[in-house]
Amino acid sequence: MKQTILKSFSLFLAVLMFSFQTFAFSTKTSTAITENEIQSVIGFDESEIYTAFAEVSDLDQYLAQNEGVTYTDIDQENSTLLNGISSSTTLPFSASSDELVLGIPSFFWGCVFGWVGLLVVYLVLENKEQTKKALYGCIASTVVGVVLYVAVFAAAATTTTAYTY
Amino acid sequence: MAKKFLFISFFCILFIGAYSQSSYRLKADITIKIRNRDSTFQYTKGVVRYDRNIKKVIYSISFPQKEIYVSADTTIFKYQNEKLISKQGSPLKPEFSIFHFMLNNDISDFGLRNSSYKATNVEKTDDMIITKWTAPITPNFPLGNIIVSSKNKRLQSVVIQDKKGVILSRQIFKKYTFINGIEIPTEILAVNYFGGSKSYQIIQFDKILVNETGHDSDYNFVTEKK
Repeated sequence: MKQTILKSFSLFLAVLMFSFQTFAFSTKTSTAITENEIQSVIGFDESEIYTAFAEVSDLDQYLAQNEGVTYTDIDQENSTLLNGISSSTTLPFSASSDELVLGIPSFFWGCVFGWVGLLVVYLVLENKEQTKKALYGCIASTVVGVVLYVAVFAAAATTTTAYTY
Repeated sequence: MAKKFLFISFFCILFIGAYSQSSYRLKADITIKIRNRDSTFQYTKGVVRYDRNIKKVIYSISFPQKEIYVSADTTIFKYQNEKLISKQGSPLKPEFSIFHFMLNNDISDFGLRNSSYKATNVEKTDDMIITKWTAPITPNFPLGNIIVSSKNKRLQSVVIQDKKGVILSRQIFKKYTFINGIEIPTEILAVNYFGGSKSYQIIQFDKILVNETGHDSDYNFVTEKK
């Protein structure tokens, strides 16, 4: 009896040790900071960002000198300052207006993949506007499907009627 | 002697803590510039106000047009000429905004300490502290891990990954100013990655005012139903 208990306890300890080792290994691999991650967070060239905005430096200066002017005001006075600049407002850290899942318009996600596409857009972007577009796509494909179904059904019925006569 | 030193230290810590906790309100000029993936730009200028007790971010926009945006709970209200034009849902609640982090002095960890993310590794390189924040294990959670670097308790940069470890966004926090016991980055640079293309964002703060007295209604914009 004593031997059985001892054997069982030894086996339990062995399993416990093995599982701890496995857990420690998996923890280390998933949470370790790699050299690539360190470089991605500290070795970034900021000049790339400043260069991207070189084209709006004239607008920067103009707005600094003319406080309170609106897009419409500038459009009437010096519209060249607004080349490539949208008239819509943006808020900090908001999703960019062209944010898409895998570069595919949300409407097509809904249109092609139905409710699954709608769910993908909702979960990935968490953007109500984009989700709405996916919903419209979903509705559009459903409407087209119903219309096609009715058309095919009507055509089949007509054909059947012709045979009757 | 040692007792005296401990006594003074205790009061210094208490004083610094109380000083930073007393910052509750923030007002600043804000400029937001976005370069979209198709090389078009969005340019927004205005004034932002936030009171951490009221928990509403209020943007009084002057460019491109005069508008007011109010972020309250999970909704963003848009007003033109004092009329509600639209409202839309937003996943970012005001208490998770950078303004709340700044006033709470939580900016060094990007506010992740109070989120469902967990700090799972810390490394030190030169004078930088790099922390890896692991995403919660939730099936539908859209993001992966977040790597944060800080220097002298000032947040320097943030890298947000997807679930496969691919970088989705990089943000750099710079040009800090120290006002009323709180650290405020006056410039934030961001790059968002979409497969092979990128969009850029620059956010700048100017004329920062902490704990503005009076003007209570400016910080508590009453939102109304459409």
